[in-house]
Amino acid sequence: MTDALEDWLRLTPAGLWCEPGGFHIDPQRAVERALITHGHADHARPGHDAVLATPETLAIMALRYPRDRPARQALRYGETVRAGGVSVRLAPAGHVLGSAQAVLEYRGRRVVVSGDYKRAPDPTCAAFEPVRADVFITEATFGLPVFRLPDDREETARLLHSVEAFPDRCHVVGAYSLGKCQRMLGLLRRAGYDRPVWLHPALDEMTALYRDFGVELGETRPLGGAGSLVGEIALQPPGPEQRTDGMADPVRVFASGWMQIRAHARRRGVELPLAISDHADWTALTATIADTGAPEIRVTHGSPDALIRWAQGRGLDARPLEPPSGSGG
Amino acid sequence: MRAFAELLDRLAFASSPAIRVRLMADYLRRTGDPERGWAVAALGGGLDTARVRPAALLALAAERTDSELLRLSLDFVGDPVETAALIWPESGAAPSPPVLAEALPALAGSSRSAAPGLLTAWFDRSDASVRLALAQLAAGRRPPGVTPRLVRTALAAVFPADLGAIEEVWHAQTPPYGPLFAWLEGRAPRPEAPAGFRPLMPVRVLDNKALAGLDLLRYRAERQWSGLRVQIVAEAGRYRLYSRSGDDISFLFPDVVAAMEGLEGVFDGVLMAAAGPDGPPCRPGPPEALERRLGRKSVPRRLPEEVPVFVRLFDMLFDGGEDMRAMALSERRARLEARIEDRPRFDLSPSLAFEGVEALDALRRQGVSLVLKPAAGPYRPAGPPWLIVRAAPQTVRALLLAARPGGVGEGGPSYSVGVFRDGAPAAVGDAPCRLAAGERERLDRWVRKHMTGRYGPVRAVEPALVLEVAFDDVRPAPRRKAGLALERPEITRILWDLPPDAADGLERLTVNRTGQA
Repeated sequence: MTDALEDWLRLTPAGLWCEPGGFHIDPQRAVERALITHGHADHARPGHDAVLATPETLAIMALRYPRDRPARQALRYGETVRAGGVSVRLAPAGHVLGSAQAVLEYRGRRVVVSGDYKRAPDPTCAAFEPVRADVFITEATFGLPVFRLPDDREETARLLHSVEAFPDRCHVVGAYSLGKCQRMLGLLRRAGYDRPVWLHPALDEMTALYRDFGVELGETRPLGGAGSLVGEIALQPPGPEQRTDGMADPVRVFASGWMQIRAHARRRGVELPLAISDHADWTALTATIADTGAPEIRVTHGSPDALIRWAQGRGLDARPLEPPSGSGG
Repeated sequence: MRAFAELLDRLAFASSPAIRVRLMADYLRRTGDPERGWAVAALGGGLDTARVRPAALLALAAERTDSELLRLSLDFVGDPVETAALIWPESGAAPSPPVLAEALPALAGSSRSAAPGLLTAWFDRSDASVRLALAQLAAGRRPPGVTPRLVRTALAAVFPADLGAIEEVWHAQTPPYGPLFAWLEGRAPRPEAPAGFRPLMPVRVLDNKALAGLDLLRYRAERQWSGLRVQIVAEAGRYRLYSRSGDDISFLFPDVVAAMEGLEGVFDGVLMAAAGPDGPPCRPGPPEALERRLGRKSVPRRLPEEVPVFVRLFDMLFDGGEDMRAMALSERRARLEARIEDRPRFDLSPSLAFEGVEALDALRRQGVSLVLKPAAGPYRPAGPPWLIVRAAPQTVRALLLAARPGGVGEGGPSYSVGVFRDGAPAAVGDAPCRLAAGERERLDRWVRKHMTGRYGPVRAVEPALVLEVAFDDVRPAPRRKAGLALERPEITRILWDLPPDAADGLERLTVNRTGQA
């Protein structure tokens, strides 16, 4: 009889805990040893004693938390380390630069923790690599069948068409500083847009870091006091820091998977919603579950119910990732 | 169809009429016949495609998807029409969506029982954006803020014809408007439009500063009537009523059309609910009664009797075949008075005598809004507009009762406000809040903190915050518990420190009011 998953990998208040390995995965609190799948703040927190991650993710964390000094151990995609009795490997997740799935093997069973991932091609990070598994722990940010996102090339073309149709206005694209900003740059370049793109200062350092890792993003210019920016595209972080003063009648654009739903786009008050996401959409989530061949599925983040329902309908043992019963946490 | 779907999507998020016009103009420039004509019909309401209720659309989707996945999706998305379009399974084959020229006439010509079958077949050939567009057309939803007038404005932006010229021929055209486009592109003569609409004199609201700078002696004043601005056209035995935007609404008012018998000319006036069948002069009824006569597809036989209406005329554009628009107002007015004497369902808007700005102010303080027109001015819609001088706003201290987020094309959220009636708050209107951003945010925080229940997007709150609300007038509203409603309410101050019982009672709004003449 094989060990139950919960005997060696379970959700605790601090996060996903691998007991025989003695480490947490993407813990929400400071812990002794952390395996970090990628650099977004809801996965990579400061204050750990030791961090294991890809070299890119370590660099991103060092940039985000300059005063944080954990013992850093870099693990490249495909390399393996042992922690206790557990072998640990990182596989590309295609989410942002350096994002990884954690591939854990213990006593002949392989668990893949997806972290955040996407399957759509992204010129700014390594493509997702499906890994066969006994247990697949998947995110489900867009775990509803209404989230079948359009091709990102079409969404980029919509933006460029709008720039053409409103040549007297500035297009201000809201994009998160890690990942979405650089992906938008990459998509624009791939679509043949070769004008300089104007970057809000909050997006600057992360974009420079991408370039340090060899990602081609074309010419960018700093936004500060750039004037009316007629006919130009500017990238800004979403939310209150947005600066549009002085800009020529800005078209507010937002690039996010949530923009697939009109009510969300309305709440954001955008004029041009672009359904471009760094997360797997419904098609990718279901295809990936099939690709891993895993008979056991655990679902976390977002909307697990529909994905669990779908997987159960295919005879898989699918459940939400929850703390083991009786653990008190 | 892809391009049209994209247009609908952009229109749904456009923030101003000017942007809507540009989006439509951009589409029209890139699209040829007959597709652009059908698009104009779909946008301008020239075609009735409402064939499938939202629940029926959802039922179509339920035939194709797991019911639990559909339920979870609907919970998340909220809108059944959007949910059905988004969740529709795709075969993976390259989409080959129908063109508008196929889908629109088929939908408009189909029965309610046949339409779902058409949609199913089209959905199977389309991607999500086209499915959403088709679903909205079939559900009879039109993009917010897109009026027939705005569609014509877009045509005027694309082609070398002015809006007035387009409006004069518009009503005689039918989708897909081949002869209209041929004329607009200079390929054919201007289409015939017997008994057509003539552009109306526009009006503009005057603020106090501009009013002070006006040479009032050159103007005539009339009361501003609350009703529906209409144009009455009686030419060669044809009798028509047009709305302010040039839409033919004759079918809504067979009683008025019948009363036009024997008239010859084109007139400008306001259609109002009547207090009774007598007149002229007619007595205005409650303005909200008119609502029952509007927005219909057909008119029940008894409705004209139940809700009698009349037209209060104030100008004349044509006398028989004679174009009077170049004449001075005083001259047109004299002719109007002679022509319209003693005709049932028609009367005249009296001119108000006033001397100087003090007399105007006195009228305004009585709650009267006025229209000022230059006495020597011609009827020239492209020239300076008539001027509206609004009644002086009054204020009331009211309680905040609920908040509703603003939809697209609205200014922002609106807040339901109420006053005390027998010791309990009774709602008297929905007021926008145009205070400084900081104050608005504080108000929204207050709403979140004091929410007592949700009704769809509406959040009810504890009646504990007193607001100063300005309004132009009070009108009777029999369906409200308060029995009346504020006209043009607006939150002008948030009285954070006042206790709830500092709000006014209903009597504050019912005494000292001047009724309409």
